[in-house]
Amino acid sequence: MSLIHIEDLGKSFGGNVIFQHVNVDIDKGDCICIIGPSGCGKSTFLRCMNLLEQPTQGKVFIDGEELTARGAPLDKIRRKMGMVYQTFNLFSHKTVLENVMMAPMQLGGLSRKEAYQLAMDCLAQVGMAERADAMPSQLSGGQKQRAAIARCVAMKPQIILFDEPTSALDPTMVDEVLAVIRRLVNRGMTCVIVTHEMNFAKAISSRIIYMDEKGIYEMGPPSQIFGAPQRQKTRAFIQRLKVFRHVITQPDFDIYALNSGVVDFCRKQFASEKQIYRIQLALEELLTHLVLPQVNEKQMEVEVLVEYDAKNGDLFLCVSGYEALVFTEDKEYHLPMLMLKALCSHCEQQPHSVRLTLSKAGRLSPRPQQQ
Amino acid sequence: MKMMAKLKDTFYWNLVYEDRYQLILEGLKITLLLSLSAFVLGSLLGVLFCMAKRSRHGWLRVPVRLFTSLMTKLPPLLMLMIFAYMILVQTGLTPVAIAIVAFTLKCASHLSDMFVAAVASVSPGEVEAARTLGYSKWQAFRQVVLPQAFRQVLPLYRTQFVLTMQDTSVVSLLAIQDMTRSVNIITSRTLDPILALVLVAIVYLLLGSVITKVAFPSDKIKHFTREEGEKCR
Repeated sequence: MSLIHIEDLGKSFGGNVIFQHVNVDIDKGDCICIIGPSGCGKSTFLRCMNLLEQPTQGKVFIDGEELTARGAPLDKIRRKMGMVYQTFNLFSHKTVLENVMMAPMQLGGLSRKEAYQLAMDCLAQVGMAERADAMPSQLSGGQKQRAAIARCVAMKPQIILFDEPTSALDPTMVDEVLAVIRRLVNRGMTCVIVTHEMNFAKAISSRIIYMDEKGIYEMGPPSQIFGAPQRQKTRAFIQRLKVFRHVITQPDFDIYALNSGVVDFCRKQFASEKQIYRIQLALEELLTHLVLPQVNEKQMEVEVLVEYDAKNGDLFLCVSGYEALVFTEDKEYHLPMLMLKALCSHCEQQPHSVRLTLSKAGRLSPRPQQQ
Repeated sequence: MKMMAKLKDTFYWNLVYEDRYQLILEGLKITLLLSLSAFVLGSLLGVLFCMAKRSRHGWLRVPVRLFTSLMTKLPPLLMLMIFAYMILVQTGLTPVAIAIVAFTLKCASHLSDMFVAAVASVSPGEVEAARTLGYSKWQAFRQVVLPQAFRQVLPLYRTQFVLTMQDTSVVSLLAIQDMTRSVNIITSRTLDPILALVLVAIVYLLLGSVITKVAFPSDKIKHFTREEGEKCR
């Protein structure tokens, strides 16, 4: 039997079904990444796997033992599976070292000396030996998460469940945590990871579960899910990863939210900082000086599209109106068009739309002089 | 010289004559008895109240909440009258016992509120983390919630002792001779209130500060450091 065997698992709150009819087998050494839109039950599914949430139907077997059975030795079976949380959840009244030593001493029956050696080993593995005496509140997010992973590893679990381990971290700290997880996976640890880091999921997992429509919508190797998704919703989800689309319908829309959405998208595509800087300037210029003065406020519909060409690293910004928008160098719009052209390497104008190309190689034009 | 003589006089009439200092000492005993027993019993009962208030069962939670809310809102004098003239009037308890029951319940109600808030202040995520490490519900509470809640509640807990001690000063209503009443007796005889009042005020001050300093555990945690770990290696 496989290490984790899940049979017809389901969870609902009241009449509200979160997911149902989930069947998965996870073998030793597998690394499963669970992806999907937010609110699709990924985290709840993960929490049902170690009964932090009580599933409303189905069975979970860990290493042959049924966790969902009445009177199952829950605490004992749980020691076989660690869990790493989005919010770290280190014990805030203990130092990092004590956090890691606590469970092996109190539950594993290790002596203080053995527990200390084990804890220092685990901390060294995640690069936190140096900060062993620090309190959790003195650590950065990435350090907290690495300490939490060490605490988990110290119990020598057979499986580790990761619940969005990098979602609460600064972008600068994501990599250190992902590197630690990667190392665990490479050493053969069985991992189940709920994540929004698509590139990480693609690179590390042996299988990807795409959750949608209240269950497992599509499951397969990363090459299938990311390269050739078989079902419609998976395709749409993967497509959304490649294209950012936003439709503006109100003249007083939140330009800052749109801007940060675009920046987020570009970062995830590994666009260069120069490109990101330029696309922000171009977007602002386009919207505030060209589009907004032209649109009819009552029936406004302006579509903003950002695409990224992974092959040669070009970034495209396309803005189009469903009504007539003028993107020509008429007198009135001469100056904004000039600035846009200075920002991008190619500008394609059509009666209703404009498409800017910001190439990776292109130099950053100097800011246009004020006239 | 005149001043000194007058002071000596006051001293004599207030404390020495008829062994009046004995009155204050007796009062001190009663005050200590009332406040310490109300506080110790109240702490134990407060834990029970706290558990009841956090209970899953509504039949336990709701009445205890109502009761403690009532006890914390009534003025101490009124509450004492209700116990002495209504609830416990038929039981034949001595006035001191009635006062202890009343103040124990009041103190327990205040403390249970503090305990509930302190327990709630511990992040539920940490409890979850402990559970997934394999701790049982009780172990997780004991190892993760309790130490943090304890540190959270300690300053308030100390203050509650002083408040309970202050509350007991209303027992003269039941003709119990506590420290406050003993001053009253002395001043009514000597018609010179200053010395006795100041003296007793100082005793209250000392009691409050000494007991809260000495009798309570410290919230300093001794951490196990890397240095110690290297030594036992």
